[in-house]
Amino acid sequence: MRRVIILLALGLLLRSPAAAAAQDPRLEARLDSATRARVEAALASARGEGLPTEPLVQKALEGASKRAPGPRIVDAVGTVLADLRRAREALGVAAAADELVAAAAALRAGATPSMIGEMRRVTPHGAVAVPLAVFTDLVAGGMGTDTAWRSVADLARKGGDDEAFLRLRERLEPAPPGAAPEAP
Amino acid sequence: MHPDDRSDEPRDPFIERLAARLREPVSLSPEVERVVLDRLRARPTQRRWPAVAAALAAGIAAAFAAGLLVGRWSAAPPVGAASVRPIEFALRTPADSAVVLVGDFNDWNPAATPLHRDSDGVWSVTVPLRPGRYRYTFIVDGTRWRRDPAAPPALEDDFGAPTSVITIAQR
Repeated sequence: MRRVIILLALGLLLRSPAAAAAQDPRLEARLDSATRARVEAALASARGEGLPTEPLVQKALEGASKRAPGPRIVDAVGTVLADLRRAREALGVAAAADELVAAAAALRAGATPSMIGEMRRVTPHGAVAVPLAVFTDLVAGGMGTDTAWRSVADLARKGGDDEAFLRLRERLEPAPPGAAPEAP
Repeated sequence: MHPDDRSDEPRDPFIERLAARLREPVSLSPEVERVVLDRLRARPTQRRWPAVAAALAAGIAAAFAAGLLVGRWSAAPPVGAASVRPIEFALRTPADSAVVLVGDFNDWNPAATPLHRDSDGVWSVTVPLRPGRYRYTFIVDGTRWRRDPAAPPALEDDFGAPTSVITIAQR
């Protein structure tokens, strides 16, 4: 009887949500065991620090879909984790997951932590996800970092809503039809 | 201080000596110790197991429930109450057989979201998405990666294939 109870308790512990959450079935199906172990270690770190894990999972799945080598996938996931840490340092522990994702991308696009903090202060209701995403899109579209930041920050000070921020992207030259870059 | 401890009252020396003796440790002979320990060891312990097991099981169940809730919360989308919006993705390309859409919204799964070609040669699909920022790309004929010419490119392109970004605002 005692053995049965002990085995039952151990079984429940091993099946606990913490243990189950450490293994994402989406990764199990798409990554080799060595890569998966390192990605899951990064997920555990993010979870332990209260950071969103879904961006890391999606980065790993993107790498798997693009047939990237395991070490490259691990590096990319590690970079996303580092970006999310920096984003939270800039936005504070109360930042929502979508804000952290947008801030991480903005930091990579050339924004500084102080700029991110300023955006939090000047944006109506402190909602920074869309303004920061638009800043990143403007930079990715070829606009200079300073110009892109000035455009977004000015609109934030004027109280622009999310749709107004998205319209800022119309300043970018649209690509001609069929001109999208292609990878073999 | 205890309310009954009145230090200003005089103490009886006899009581003080008696209390001091009572505080001294009592040493038992080895034989007495052995008998007491043997009696303790001989007591049945099985009857305590159900209570211990019940407490353990209750603790595990509580941890399981708490973890389950935490897991659900952490896995919830960042804009849980936000409305889902139908977003159309389209690409004009002379594909021979198929165009599929992969991105952050479908786990980059090439089998998840195929596009359909209309009579004008435009491939398209509508995907319900919550507000947020998503990276995505098209795969043409299973081999060629094409980013969306109508959307900004993704800056964080870690794997060398072109990727686009869509940002969906809350209404």
